[in-house]
Amino acid sequence: MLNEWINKKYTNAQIKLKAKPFPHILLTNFFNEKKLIEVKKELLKETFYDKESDLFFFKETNDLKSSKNPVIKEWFSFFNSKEFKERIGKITGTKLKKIDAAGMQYPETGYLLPHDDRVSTRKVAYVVYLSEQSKEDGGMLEFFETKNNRPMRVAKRFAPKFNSLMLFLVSKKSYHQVSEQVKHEQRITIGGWFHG
Amino acid sequence: MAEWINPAYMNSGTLKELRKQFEKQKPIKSIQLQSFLKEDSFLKLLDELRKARYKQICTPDLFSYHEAEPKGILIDAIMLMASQRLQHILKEITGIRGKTTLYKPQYFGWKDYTIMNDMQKLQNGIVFFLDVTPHWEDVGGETVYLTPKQEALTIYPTANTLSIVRTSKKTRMFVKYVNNYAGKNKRYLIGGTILTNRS
Repeated sequence: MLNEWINKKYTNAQIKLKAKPFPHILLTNFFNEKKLIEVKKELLKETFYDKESDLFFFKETNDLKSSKNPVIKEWFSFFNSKEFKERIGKITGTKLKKIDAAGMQYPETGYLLPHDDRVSTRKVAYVVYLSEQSKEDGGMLEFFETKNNRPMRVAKRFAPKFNSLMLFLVSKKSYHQVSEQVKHEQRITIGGWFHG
Repeated sequence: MAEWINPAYMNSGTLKELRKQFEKQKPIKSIQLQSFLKEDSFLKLLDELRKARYKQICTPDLFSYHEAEPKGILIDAIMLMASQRLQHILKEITGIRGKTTLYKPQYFGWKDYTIMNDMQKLQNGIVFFLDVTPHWEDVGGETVYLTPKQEALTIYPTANTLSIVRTSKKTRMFVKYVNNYAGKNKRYLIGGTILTNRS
């Protein structure tokens, strides 16, 4: 199943996480592009609900495990498969069990303020990028440098790049945010966590 | 400084009526007094707030805003917040008297926010603040107070308006993220709190 869904170069190769400001890796051209284009097309048929609090403003689907769409179900089955979780577990050095997955859209002025993601059994956070934009458009995933496990300043920024997979370990240091989307078009991703 | 205040808010009959409105407000007792300062005083204060030098106060996972050391007319404005006349208005409307703490002049501009957290809990008493903010629409930056049942009171910045909100140790608040539509516009605030033993 791995060969069918992801770029061959990622099926077996040894991949080392970047250490700073906390363990993470951005894997570009990760999925079979044709399949991912189809996933994006079908994802946009799901209902996206407004989510707004002190911490964020974006639109989100229900957990994709409950999707009735055959293409989304197939993607979820792959992402939640034992084989794929073992592959991600090997890259991240963790033992992974279940996953959460939701489609997300950041409309213009959408944002996610700094937080560390530590909730429940989350071990590895992930983002599948389904749209592409430059740093001037906002919507960047930003990682904070920490001091005594407190966020100090942004140390690394990632502009969304279509068909990339971001993975990072959830810890007391994993402070991150998504900068405000200043572009008129939506920033589209699938995101969630691998749980331990 | 008391002469800065709109004389309409000096009238005891008006204050009694405002007290009724304050008490009736749900889910949180509150009131907004529009045109609170005389127009010329408001414009003078706005001009001084725009000219003041600010520094950013930022702890990324808690808040980001800007604060000024008061000088000149801004000291007068702070003194106005502590003046007997203003304290009398607050007492007549809320029935609360207690220890007053004043904030330094602040502004929230593009990318500023506060996040609800346990380190900055509200206390039993009232919060009062004067918005000195012209033309503020659809840019975020509103102040939201939440009851323990998550019922929300949202205060949208309105120029020359004094907001008064009854708070308890269980009230939570945040200032919503200010988005790029704000441009160079800023939400200027002066105000403070009055603490009481009553919950």
